[in-house]
Amino acid sequence: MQEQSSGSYKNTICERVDSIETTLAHIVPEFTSNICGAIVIFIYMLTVDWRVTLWSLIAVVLGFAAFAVMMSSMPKWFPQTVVKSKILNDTAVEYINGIEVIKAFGQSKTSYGKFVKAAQEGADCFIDWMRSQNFWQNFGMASFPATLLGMLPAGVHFMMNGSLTQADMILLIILSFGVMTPLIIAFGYTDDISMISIIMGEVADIMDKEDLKRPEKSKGLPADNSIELSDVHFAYKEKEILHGVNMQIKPGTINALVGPSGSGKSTIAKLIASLWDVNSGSIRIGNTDLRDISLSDMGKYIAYVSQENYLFNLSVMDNIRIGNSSATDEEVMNAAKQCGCHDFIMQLENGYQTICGGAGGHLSGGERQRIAIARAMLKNAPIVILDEATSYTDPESEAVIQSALSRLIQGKTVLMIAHRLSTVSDCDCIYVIQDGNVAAAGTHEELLRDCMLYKNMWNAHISVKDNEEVPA
Amino acid sequence: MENQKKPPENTASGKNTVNPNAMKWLMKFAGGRKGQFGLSVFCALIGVAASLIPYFIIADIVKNLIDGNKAADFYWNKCLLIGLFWILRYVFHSISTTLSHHATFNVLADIRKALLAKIASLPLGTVSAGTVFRIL
Repeated sequence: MQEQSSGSYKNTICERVDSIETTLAHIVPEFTSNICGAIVIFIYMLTVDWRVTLWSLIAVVLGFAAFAVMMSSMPKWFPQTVVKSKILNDTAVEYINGIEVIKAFGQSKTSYGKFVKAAQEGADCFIDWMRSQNFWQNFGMASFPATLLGMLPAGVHFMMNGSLTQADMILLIILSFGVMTPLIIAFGYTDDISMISIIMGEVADIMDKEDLKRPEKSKGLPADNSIELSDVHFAYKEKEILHGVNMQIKPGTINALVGPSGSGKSTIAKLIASLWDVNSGSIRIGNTDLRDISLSDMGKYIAYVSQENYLFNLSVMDNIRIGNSSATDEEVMNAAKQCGCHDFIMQLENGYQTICGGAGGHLSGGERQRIAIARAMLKNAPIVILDEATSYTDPESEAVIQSALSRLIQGKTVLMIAHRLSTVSDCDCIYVIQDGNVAAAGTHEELLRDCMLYKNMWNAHISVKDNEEVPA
Repeated sequence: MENQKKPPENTASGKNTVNPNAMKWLMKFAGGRKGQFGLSVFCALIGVAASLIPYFIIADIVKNLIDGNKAADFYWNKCLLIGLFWILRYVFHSISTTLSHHATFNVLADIRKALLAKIASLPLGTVSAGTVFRIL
């Protein structure tokens, strides 16, 4: 699994793909037609006098050899220039984004030095490339069209011995110019073909990536809303994060995953939500393996609410409706009311028709969170996963969000991940995750009694909470 | 094609080899617009033919000059003919280019559609950065 940033996907899909348009559009007809034209003329020349025609090829062979040398080094140089340019861009972006830190800590010299070095290497790379091609470029350009080089001596010789007429010789000389023009046009495209192949390589990199394998049609549907993980291993890149996790979540219960950060609890939630696939072992919902359920069916069973929730550049109404595209306006508003969104939405300039803007710019974090919960509410999936759904919210909206969540999870199978242990202490079962394993499981009381790690976490949590409550 | 050669060893940090499947994918996408490209190539061929015929006419003119043909009309007609082919060449060249641009924009659209569809079917971890995909 090779990770690429969303920025580089965007770059490939928008700009890089766009940049091949002109070249591709010209290459297809012109490359083919010019090569064909050259071949036709050449064949005609052969019928006029094959001996002189073949002699004219000496120059072409030399030219081809020069271009072949240049082409063969293209895959060595061009990707390097791409890499160097990318480093230069990244350095520049880092310099600009980090300018505050750079100035505050007097780092402008070293950071600027880094940029200068990247710029220098970028330039050197291009210069070295050009320099290494210089001779072959000129040699090729000079010899390629020099058909007369072989043709004239041969032609004169054949005319002297009477085996070639004057008229044919003139025809051949003129046609030899005719054969070169289309060839030169065609070979002008060789650089561009390399560029296209590099950009298409980026496209291929994405297209060749391994899909999340799910059947088009579900092979089976969950019998109930239980979740069962058996011996789940998961590695992110080379590093194994989960080492054989076993969990059994009963339908209709509220469950929590707790543990130190980096313990793998969020990964477990994402695996259950089918955002990734397990490497080995299995996850079953209602006794059906996740990998047998189609993605669209999967969507009906699981609602996943995370800490960051993206709002599309749509009206508030449509943003909530993403939870269930067939919901009526009334149903949307109902969900919003239950999640404590209705009041603040009505205060927006256009109420439910207000456009949220890119990432929901108009709304506060807590408001966005409530909209996301309303989405999940509207979706009405029997299994709800809350991935640190309350962690970033301000204390005021937390109470509202908590009550929204408690309405959302009524009668559902719930798996929640939370920082604040007090929010999970009422759960039916709490799983303590440590280093990619389930260290302990049980109710709050059981864990306080039996699990040292949980006890320590609880005590740390309580003391922080006490401090918070001390008036400033 | 020349650039289908074996990718070279990495010389700098990072990934700098071209995916060997690049041309396969290009052919696959361009193949979807075979008809449009075909028509474009056909027009381009007529264009190139029109650009080459004048060479034969010139050869004919030179031959007549050497043979001592002094009829001015003959040469004027030939020149007119060359001019005509010169115009034809650019007319067909433009038609071909227009058709080809049309087809290419469609191919790019197809590539983008395929890429977006592909991204949707990838495991979320492959598309890493947070804000692009937040699945409900």
